[in-house]
Amino acid sequence: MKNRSDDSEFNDMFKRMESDLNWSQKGKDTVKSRIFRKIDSLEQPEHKKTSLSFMRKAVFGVCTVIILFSLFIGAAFFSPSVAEVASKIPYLNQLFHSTSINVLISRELEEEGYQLAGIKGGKEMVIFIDGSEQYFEDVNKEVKKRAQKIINGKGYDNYVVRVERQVEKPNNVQISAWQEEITQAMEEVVDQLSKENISILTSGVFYPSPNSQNVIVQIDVPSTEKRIKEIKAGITDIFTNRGIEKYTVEINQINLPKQAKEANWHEIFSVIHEGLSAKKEYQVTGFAYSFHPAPLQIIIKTSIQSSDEEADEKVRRIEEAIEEFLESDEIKKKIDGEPYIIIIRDNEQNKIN
Amino acid sequence: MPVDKKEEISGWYDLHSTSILGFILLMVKDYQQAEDLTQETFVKAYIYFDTYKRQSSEKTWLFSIAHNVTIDYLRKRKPMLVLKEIFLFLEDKTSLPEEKIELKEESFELYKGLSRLKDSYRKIIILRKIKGFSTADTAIILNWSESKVRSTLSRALNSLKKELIKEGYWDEKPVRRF
Repeated sequence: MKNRSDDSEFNDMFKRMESDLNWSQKGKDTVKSRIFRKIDSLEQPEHKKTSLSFMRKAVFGVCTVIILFSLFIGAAFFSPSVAEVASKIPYLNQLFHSTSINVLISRELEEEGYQLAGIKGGKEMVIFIDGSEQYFEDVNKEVKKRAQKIINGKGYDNYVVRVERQVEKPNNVQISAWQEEITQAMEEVVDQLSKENISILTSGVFYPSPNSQNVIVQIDVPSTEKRIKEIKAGITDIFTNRGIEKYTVEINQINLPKQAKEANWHEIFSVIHEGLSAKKEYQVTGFAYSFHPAPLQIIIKTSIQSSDEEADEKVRRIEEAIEEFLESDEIKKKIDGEPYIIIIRDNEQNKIN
Repeated sequence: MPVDKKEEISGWYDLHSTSILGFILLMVKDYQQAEDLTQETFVKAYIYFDTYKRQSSEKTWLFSIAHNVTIDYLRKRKPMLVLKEIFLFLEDKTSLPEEKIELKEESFELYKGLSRLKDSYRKIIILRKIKGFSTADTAIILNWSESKVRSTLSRALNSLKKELIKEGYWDEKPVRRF
């Protein structure tokens, strides 16, 4: 015989599962860019469909790449003209097709069985190791050596590696009844909006400061959603009925195609950032960007002193590296004519280009 | 026009990819593979975009593609799996890479319980109960009749309950919270 409350608990468990699974934005973005790379390659006119099985295609593909690459490298040794072509593939374009240094290091360390907790990227790279203090003592020097070898192998000369032990995080964070009430109110909001077929891209609550009695409710919906007033009213009802007094509702309308376009840029930014900070010659210390207001600003922070006699030449080299990359056919296609400006700052944050 | 097609796929990806990845992950129990099959789902959606007649919601259509790529993969994988189990002792892939995907602890027992069910039971519970598809939409996704959806769901739920009771996670007393 069926037990009604048993079933309802069972149903709650299922509903919770859907919201309990969180895919990291990074993971989501990576797969998205892989999809669009694949789609772009399908659109190439030279793309030919064959009936080869996947395995045969893969083996054939790998062999072809190895042969072509060997021929290319071999020819570069003997033919000055081929060597010249190789050196003319812009530096950042070469990086665009290689795996990022963080992924490369984490993949290799994990494959070798090290208990890796994470990597903080950038030219002052920190590798975090999980496990006991003894384990850390045993492996930290080897890990540093391995990482440095991979960095050197990529031709990067400006990276410093530090290895640290991952500090355990406290687990028992106390949640107040008030916070619990807010969490439940949010669950009700999400349920309610879903019932009304309103698609929620993200939802969350933020506290302006740790002990703040005010809470900011933030919901992202597609910009095609026009029922903003109704959404706000619905949230207000739920929060007021639960006796929550101080709250602010923020509804962000997200332009999804625009967001997708910006996601394309993020892939490009990471190459510029990694490529320029990896080499001492560029003296790059930081990277920033801003889409609003248009045009897109690509901001490169450097340690160049404006009094440096070679400042102009150094600035020119940075500009050239970025422009060569952004103006290449492949990247031009990705950014689809979106205007941008490059701003280079000196060690005192003044614009020097 | 290709640009519109891409924009639409991009919007759909933002809206539904997490849910689709979750479905595939519960089916194949391997995060890396789930990522690859999610990619395949959206690439196929792009390729067959013109065949989508909009008689069902785009979510239902995407899920039917995801279901097809997943069963194709499971079908191909089976002979390999047997060999692996015999010779290599299959590694436990129910653990998830936390930096990429996070499942709150409260749902992990359900995840494990589901992973012990047979494929047809698992997918019917995921689609009807976790993803909340109607019987009619589930029938479209699985290419089953609606009556088959109903009868399989009831057997699948009984089977899941037994699994959870066996593991001491469900004690038939509905007051239990976790």
